[in-house]
Amino acid sequence: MGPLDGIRILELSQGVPGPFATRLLAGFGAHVIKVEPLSGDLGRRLPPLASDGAGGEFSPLFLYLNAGKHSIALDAATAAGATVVCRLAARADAIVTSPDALNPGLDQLREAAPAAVIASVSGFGNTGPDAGRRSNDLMAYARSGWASLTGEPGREPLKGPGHQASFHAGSALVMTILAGLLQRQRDGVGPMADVAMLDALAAIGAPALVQSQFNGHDNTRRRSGFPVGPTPAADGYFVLTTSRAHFWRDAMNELGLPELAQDVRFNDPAARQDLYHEVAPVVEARLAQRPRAELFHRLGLLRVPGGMVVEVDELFDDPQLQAREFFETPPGREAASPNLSMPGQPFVMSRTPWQTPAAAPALGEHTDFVLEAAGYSVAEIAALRESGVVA
Amino acid sequence: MTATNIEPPLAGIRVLALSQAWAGTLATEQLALMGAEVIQVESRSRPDVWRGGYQAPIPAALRQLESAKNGWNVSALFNSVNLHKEGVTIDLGQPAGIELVCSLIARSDVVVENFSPRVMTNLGIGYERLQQVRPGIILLSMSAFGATGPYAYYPGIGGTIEPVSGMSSQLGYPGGPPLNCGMMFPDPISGYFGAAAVLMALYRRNLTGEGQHIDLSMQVVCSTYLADAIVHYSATGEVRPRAGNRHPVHAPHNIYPCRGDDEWIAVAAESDADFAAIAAIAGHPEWSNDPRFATEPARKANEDLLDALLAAWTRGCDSTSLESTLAAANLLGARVAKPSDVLRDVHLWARGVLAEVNHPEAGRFAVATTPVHLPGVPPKVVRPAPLHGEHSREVFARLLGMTAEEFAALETEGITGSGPPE
Repeated sequence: MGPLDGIRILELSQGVPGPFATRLLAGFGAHVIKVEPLSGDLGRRLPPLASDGAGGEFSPLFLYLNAGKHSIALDAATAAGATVVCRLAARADAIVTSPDALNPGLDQLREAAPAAVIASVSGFGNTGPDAGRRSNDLMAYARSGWASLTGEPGREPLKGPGHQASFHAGSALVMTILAGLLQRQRDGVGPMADVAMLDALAAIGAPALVQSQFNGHDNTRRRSGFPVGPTPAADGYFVLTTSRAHFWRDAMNELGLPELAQDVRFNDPAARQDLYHEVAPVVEARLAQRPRAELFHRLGLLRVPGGMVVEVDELFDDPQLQAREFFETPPGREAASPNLSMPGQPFVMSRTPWQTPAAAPALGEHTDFVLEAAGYSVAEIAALRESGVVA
Repeated sequence: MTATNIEPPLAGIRVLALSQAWAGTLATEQLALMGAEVIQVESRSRPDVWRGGYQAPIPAALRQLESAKNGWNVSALFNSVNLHKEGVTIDLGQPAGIELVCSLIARSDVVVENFSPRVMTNLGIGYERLQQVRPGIILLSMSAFGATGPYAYYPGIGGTIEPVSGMSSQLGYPGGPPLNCGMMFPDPISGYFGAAAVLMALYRRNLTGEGQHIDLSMQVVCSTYLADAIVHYSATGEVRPRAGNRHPVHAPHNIYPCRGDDEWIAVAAESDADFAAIAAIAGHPEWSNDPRFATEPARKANEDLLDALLAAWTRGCDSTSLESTLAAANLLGARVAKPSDVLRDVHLWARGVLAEVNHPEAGRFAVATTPVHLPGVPPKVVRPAPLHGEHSREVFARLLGMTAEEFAALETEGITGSGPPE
């Protein structure tokens, strides 16, 4: 039994942040109803697409983001469609929407669901001078300060890979929904909330912001320091950290450089950072001789943090991720959705564990089921289908 | 109930934070900003490593401040991620210290720790003991790799978890080596997941009265953020190569140089219409008819040339004006902000993501708070991070009825107090 068993979430947002958030909540027991336009969540085409072996294409990312959810396809632009959404909203504990989901708007949703948590997620948020501005992960990295710190000095700053900014917006949305549900549980009424991807990234840049004020200058993209690397190892890359004196000493001894281990100039953390470039060629020549995993285990036993760079395909064989039961394959719908291996439980709760959700739904797969549960009669559902309001 | 008198979500909840550095510290800070009373526990002999140690120098910009006397109280790092908490010191290496912390746990709802997995049990305050001390306790344990598995006792910090989770392998320039990001992304994302875990456990406990033990691996959280690369590999057998700022299908999608030192702008087109508009602004409307750039697949195929042409244009532009121009045209454009720029971002101030604190030794400065916006969150007045041991006497008196004499005795034994031990 998950901690959120019995919680009903209505998902009106598309793409990445909202679905990522509700996917996590579904794994912990929430029942998520996904309202999609008749043409389907735009996320169904999130690139890069993969071939399904039968001449069609699908988005693996969509299948990850929407595992465990029920799908109803409807035309919210029509009055009848908006009415259906409002009726579903009335039964929800939490509603996730976005400014793009124009109809029904926040006021209509609040009227339909006076006690629900209603969270809107977007790039810049719904308030503030730049509310409503177009955004994507690249823009969020630029505006939040993270890009200025990432990449090589002198070259263009870098965004984080893939959709990490959008996932992080989803993470902020998860915190918001859960805190809102607590308020609702206590007060009988849930709040409205406005979640922005930019807020989520900027907020976690906190250390650099205070460093900038206390140091009188900004941190910049750096070549070395703590950690060292990633730098070449025998079979890939490795990151060495020297943030504590004993990390430096034990790592240098392990690399066969006792004179560096005992060099008192490196006792001071600031000096380790400033002087490293003097000894970098020697240290990195030794690192280049060591296989990643072997060095990682040796350092681990010495209680020195070591960072072997693991490639994405190697993650599937990582013994630690396996021991943590990280990968899962949502069951069901083999014909239409290939059985992908994907991230599973994000942390272990001893009493109310994560449950691997069912495979992501086909478009409108649960239209009848959802409408029946909401009290629509068979005849009413047929009429909605006939008039093209639902599919 | 009006919006102004709704209590914040965690009003009445008490959290004991046995964490240091960033991840567990941030999780508990977010709980504090959501209204919980969060007591951060350090010791005299081992202040939080993010205080920089007792030899920490006074940061350059604070040296002329009379009040900035103790380097360990005016560390930028500690002061950036411990907002709105109370700070106490307890020496967990002494039996009297363990007894003291158990008294606090008995009056707490949540304990958060990020020790190496054996440590809490070795100290005599493992989960079983905590349940006896305070039935219904919620314990969140955060560690580099989790409490179980072959790497459980290996230490890790953000900069080493990043590569072991797969994150570093995906970050880098096309054709270039893997990189770490500039600020240990693993820590704060783990912090947010930790906070979420506690919120779920609290929700559940309100229904059943039962607490639980949450075991969070930072490696797992980071690998979760690679979900797209993972499912891509699972579906296609392809490991996506490092792509810099580029996108699988959209082009242009990159960061381009502007006039001035380390000035850059991010620009992206998600459609042919976007590109045509950008081309017009660049003074090259003919680009959108050029067969090399007229369609998205063509732009992807000729992306090196496209990026070079755009960079040649943006090099002559002021990044701030260009961002305004692009935004006004409803296009994707954003100047690359440095931390000092973020501190001046009016939009973030308006949304409460940035706030000012008044610190007894470091004075007034700006902090980043939270992306959670709910009634009472963040608080109207955000309190600064605590001084070392600042609230020991007050908290022990209020929660445990400790007298001044009793406190003085503990101080003499080094169990509590502020600053370096004698």
